[in-house]
Amino acid sequence: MSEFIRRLNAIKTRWDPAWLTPSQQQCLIELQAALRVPGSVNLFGKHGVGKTFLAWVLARESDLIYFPHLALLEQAENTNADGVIIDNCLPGRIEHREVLKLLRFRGIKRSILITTELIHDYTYQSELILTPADLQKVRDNLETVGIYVDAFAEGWDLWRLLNPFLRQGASAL
Amino acid sequence: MIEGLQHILDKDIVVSTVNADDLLRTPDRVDNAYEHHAATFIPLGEIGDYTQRFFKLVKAARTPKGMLVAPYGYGKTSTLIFLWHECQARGLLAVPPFYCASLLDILKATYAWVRYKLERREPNLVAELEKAYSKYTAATVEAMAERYSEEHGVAKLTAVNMLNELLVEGALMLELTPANLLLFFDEILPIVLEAGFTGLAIFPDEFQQYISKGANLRKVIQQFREFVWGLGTRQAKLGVIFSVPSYTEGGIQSQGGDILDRLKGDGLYHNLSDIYTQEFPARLWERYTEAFHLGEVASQVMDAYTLRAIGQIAEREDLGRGPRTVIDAFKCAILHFQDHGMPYTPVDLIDDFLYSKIHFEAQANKLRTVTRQALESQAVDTADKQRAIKLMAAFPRGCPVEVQRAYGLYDAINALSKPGHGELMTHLIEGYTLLGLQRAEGPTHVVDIMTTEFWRDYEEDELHVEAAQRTFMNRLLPRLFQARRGAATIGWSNLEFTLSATGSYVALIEGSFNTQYPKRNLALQVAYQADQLQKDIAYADFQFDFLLEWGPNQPHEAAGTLALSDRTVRFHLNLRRKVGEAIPDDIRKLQDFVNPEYVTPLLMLGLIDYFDHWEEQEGRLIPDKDRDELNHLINRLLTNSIQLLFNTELRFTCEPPLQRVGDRMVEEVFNRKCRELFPDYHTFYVQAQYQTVLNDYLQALRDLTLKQRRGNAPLKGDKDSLARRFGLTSVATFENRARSDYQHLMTIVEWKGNEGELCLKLHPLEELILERLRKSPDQRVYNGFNVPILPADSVAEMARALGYRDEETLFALQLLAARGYIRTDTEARLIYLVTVSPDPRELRARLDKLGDDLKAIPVKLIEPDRLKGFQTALAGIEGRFSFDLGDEELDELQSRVTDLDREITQAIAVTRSQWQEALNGLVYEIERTIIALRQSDLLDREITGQMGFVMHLNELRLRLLDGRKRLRVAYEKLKQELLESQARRGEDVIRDTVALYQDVMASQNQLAELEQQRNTFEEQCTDLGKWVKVLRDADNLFNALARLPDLRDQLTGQVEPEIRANFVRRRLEALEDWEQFAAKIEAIETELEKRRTYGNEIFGQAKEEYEKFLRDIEVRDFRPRTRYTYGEDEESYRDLYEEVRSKIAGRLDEIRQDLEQLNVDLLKARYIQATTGEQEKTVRQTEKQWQEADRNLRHLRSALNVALIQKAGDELPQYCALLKTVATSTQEMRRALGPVLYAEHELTGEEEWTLQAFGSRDEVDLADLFVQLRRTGQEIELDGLMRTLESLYRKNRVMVRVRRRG
Repeated sequence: MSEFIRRLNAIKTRWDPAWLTPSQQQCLIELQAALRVPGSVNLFGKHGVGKTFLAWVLARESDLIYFPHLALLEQAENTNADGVIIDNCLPGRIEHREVLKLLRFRGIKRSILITTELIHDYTYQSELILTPADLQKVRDNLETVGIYVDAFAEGWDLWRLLNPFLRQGASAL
Repeated sequence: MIEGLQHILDKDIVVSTVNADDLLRTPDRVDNAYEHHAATFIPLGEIGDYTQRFFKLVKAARTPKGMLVAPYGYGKTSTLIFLWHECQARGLLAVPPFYCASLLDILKATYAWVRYKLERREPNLVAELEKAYSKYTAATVEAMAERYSEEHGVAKLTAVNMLNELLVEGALMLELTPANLLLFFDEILPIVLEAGFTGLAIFPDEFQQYISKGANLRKVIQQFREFVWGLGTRQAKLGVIFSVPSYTEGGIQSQGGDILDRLKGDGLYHNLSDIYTQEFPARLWERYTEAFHLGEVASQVMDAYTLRAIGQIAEREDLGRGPRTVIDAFKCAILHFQDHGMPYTPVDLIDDFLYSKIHFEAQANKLRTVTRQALESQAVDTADKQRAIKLMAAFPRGCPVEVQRAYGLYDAINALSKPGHGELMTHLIEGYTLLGLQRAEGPTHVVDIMTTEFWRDYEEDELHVEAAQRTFMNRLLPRLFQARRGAATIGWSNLEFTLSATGSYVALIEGSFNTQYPKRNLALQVAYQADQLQKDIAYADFQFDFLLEWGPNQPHEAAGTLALSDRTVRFHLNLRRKVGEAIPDDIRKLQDFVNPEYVTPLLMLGLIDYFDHWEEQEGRLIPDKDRDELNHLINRLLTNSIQLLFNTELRFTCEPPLQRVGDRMVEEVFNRKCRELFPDYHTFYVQAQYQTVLNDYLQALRDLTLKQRRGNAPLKGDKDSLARRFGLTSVATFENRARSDYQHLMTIVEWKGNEGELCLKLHPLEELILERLRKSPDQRVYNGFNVPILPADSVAEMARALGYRDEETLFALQLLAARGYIRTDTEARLIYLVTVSPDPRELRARLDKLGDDLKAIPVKLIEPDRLKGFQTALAGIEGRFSFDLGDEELDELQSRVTDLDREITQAIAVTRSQWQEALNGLVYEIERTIIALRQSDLLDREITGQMGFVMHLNELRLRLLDGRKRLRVAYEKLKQELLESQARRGEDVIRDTVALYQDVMASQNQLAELEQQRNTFEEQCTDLGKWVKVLRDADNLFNALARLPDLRDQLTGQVEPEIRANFVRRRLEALEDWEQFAAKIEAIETELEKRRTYGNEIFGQAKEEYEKFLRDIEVRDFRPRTRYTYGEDEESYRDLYEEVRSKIAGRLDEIRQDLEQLNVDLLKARYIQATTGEQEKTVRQTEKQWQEADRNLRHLRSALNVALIQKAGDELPQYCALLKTVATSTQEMRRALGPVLYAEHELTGEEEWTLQAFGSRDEVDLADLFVQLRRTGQEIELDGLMRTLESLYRKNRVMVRVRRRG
């Protein structure tokens, strides 16, 4: 576990927007285009493809506030932000509508909702995938902060990259 | 950016509906959010009118209700928000649209919003609202608490508290009935109106949640019905509009179509998808231009062609999502204009689709797919061609030439058309569009997916053949062999296939296609390899083999074959037979997903099997909205498969060729086979109720002669009686039955007017069995004769071979037995050929008995003419009888005897009931008599008295008691006999009735005798009663004669002994003599009375005398009250004397008192009173007078005694005279003293003011008087006052009392 914490901290303190993989960059463009108008966008992709990292970058580069869970937004009394990014949302239509309602009540006009599968509702969607080129980019990134990982096959889960002991599909968060 | 355009950019595409809790907790946020949305909603189509109509109906208290229906994303919630906003603007209290999953949500939401509004307008009404809300939520909590407490044994109060806590926490969902919800509305509506609102409007959104989330759909629909009906019964300023997606409408329609009709009644039922036509974007953009003042910018942002393209895409469910797609496209157009300053074109539109800037709803977008595919084509090798592809994609209805020219792509499209027509593009009425985008009928998305998935893995292999075989067995064959309904003869039992040892699937079914061959046993065998087929499947009349041929060597065009052998029909069906050059229209959709070359029964049946197992295999559910379409597709696939497999060429493969194809082919083959195998079969299963029909026939045989039963003699009679013979009341029904159901069992010889003639006949099976039996070489002895026999099994087997079921064979045997041809030995399972005719000896005996019966019938039982008729008929029969007669003649005679017997019995039965009634009447009468005999105070209690003859009376009483007992016993016995007679009921009605008659007659005689005895008894009892009165009178007289010994002696010495002597002599008869002895006693009574009266008179006279005296001497109560008691003369007179003496003594006392008082007055006059000389003189004289009076009074007192009064004579008058004198003297003295005592005296001054000092007081204390006098200024001393008082006293002006102090 300590190795995982060390790696996570290294990433959190020294990451750079230039670390975005090609797929993440493509997604970023799509998200920024979608958020030109008030509304909600669904960023979806399999577990460990880098959605959360992309969200961190987006939060820093824009005035969107990142919430790891919807519950944290519900607990926050005031959200003086033009927009929010809510991670680990549920893809169901009803859950989506509940989120939209909460955002409207809070007066939040722009939002990115992150899910592992696309939301079954009428909404902008941007899918993030993890290609071999993306994986190579991640490896290179980690090396710059002293984290060396073995070569990994396609379809690898980036969370497991940080903590090999995580079970498949589990998030360190 | 123009502000108007910004409004459009800011517009929410997806509006999430709030729930009741949101309205409760954050109503202000809901208000703001919805107002914001309503601000940018542009109503199109009929929405404006719809709103107006709704408002008017609410205002007119018509309780309007309605529904908005549309697919997802077609603006139901937005429209409801707009309605809400408009209603608010018009003064209604409108509850915003809310997520409605239960009736409780409606209650909560309404309460929450009404409270929110009241808090701002009329806070004082909030308490009333709270009360109403608590009542209806409390009611449900109450009910739940009661249930809970019963189930779990907790106190109800505890349960209520617990549930309330859960409710507050939100962990409890209450149930609410429609009635309670409506009552809640009834209660809050006045509150709303009082607050100044013009009505109440409610908008339950997402109402499909209520429908689909209910555990029991039927119950949920019923609740919905009750709610809607309840609204309809009210005249309230309340309106409700529901919203549901289109597929829910279908769900409600299936179970609650009446609810939808009711919702349509107010004209507020609206399908929003009607608005969203191709023209919708243009109309909306026009409205936006107007509403947001876009001016010329509007046409700069996008042109009419682009708007049309958006409309064509948005109107298609498979390409867009209605208004959402339109808004999305508008946003993209505005952003495009903002970024490039150029109008948004249809090509830009497609680009945005391709790059997901215009999004879809989580499913594959056909537009994107088809366009990408087209762009990837090698024919699309220039930028213009690419743009042309996109332009065509933008117009799924076809891109008109003018549009092509407008965008300079006409040539490019033309260039593409040569290689691409039919491959990439297709030409529709309006122009070219991409192939695959034109509108197609058929299944929706899930079905597309399923079909695609199936096709992806489809091969013509054994796996798919097995799948096809499953469908063939489970779906196709049941269509050919349709299930029987109820007891119908047409139809089949359930097909249940089992795997056989050889690998084929076999099912044994029973039924028929044909009423002429019902209940056939068929074996169905399905296999896809010839070696799997079994031959000669047991228990079947014949078998149908279906060999599904599919191998790669099986030509597609092969029609298949049909082979008919002895008991086998074998279909060789070609699973690989193609549909032909074109897929039939009803399944043309398939070509979107599968290669048409492969559309064969193998594929179609395999696809159906895939559909059937998809949910199980995929672990997913087919959405309800797709299920109907799926079933429809399956039916069409089956139909096409049947047509391909049982095709027209197939019918020519047998000889002679069949007439029918498709599903009727199998039926035709079946009929042909039946005719071939069972040419001599004539079914007994003539209709569904065949058992009743056949039993009626059997029953009818019983009453017929042998000849008639065997058809050797006709049945003649009126049609009604003929029909009734066969158990029917309707002649028409019988005629119909005779001609159809009984066609093999009887012939109508004549049927005209009211008369008919029938002739029964043997069924062909009966004939056959009889023939076989007659020819049977096996014989057995029966009743002393050798008769042919047949084993029952062989008969059954023979019949089976002909096509008869065992039940039919059994019935044929029953008929033969009823007709007297056979007998059966069920133990040995043998059938005998016998003759059945009546025994002549038995018939003779019957005749004799009938004769005896007729003789025994008394005249009273039956009319003489009728009796004579019976006797004549009997004589006629006897005349024909002989021991040598043949079977049928004997049978006929027997039948006539039976008829005669029945007639006589019926005639007797009528009178029997009358005699039965008479007997019942007798029994009743006897019972009443017995009850009356039971009680008698007179007999049951001992007679007591003083007279000596009382013992005689008691003796007679006991004798009468005994007599009563005997009478009762006799009555009981008679009653018992009658009851026994009543209970006696044998089979011989005639004899029973005669016996009954005789019993009744005998009983009546007996009863008459008993009645006589009872009358005598009653009379004697009455006489005894009289004697008891005589005894009482005698006793009373005896007591009254205590002082009249002579009369008493007369009574006890003469009369009483006579009575006793009479009783001794005459015994019971002496009871009659009571009168004479009563008279004797009465005579003594009369004498007594006479004497009593005389004595009374004398006494009365004496009283009158004494009264005079007493009145004379002024006794106040001068009337003596002493009564005369006869027989107590001395006492009576003594009392009278004493009373008189007492009264006189009282008078003397009065006078004494007067004298005493006079004495006192004299003393006063003499010593106290102030008197004159004259007065003093008077006083002295009065004193003297007083003394004399006193002396006389003493004398009188001493002389007063009873003897004085008793003697009367002169002494008493003298005494009274003296008494009067004394009384008079007393009065005189009083008169004399009066003036002395009450003389008027003059008063001195002192005396005057002393009297004045009294004032108004009658009594005054001396000291007070003294003080009073002193106060008034009188200088007076006590002595002086005393003197004055004395003077006043003497002058009789004051009285003086002296009282001791302390």
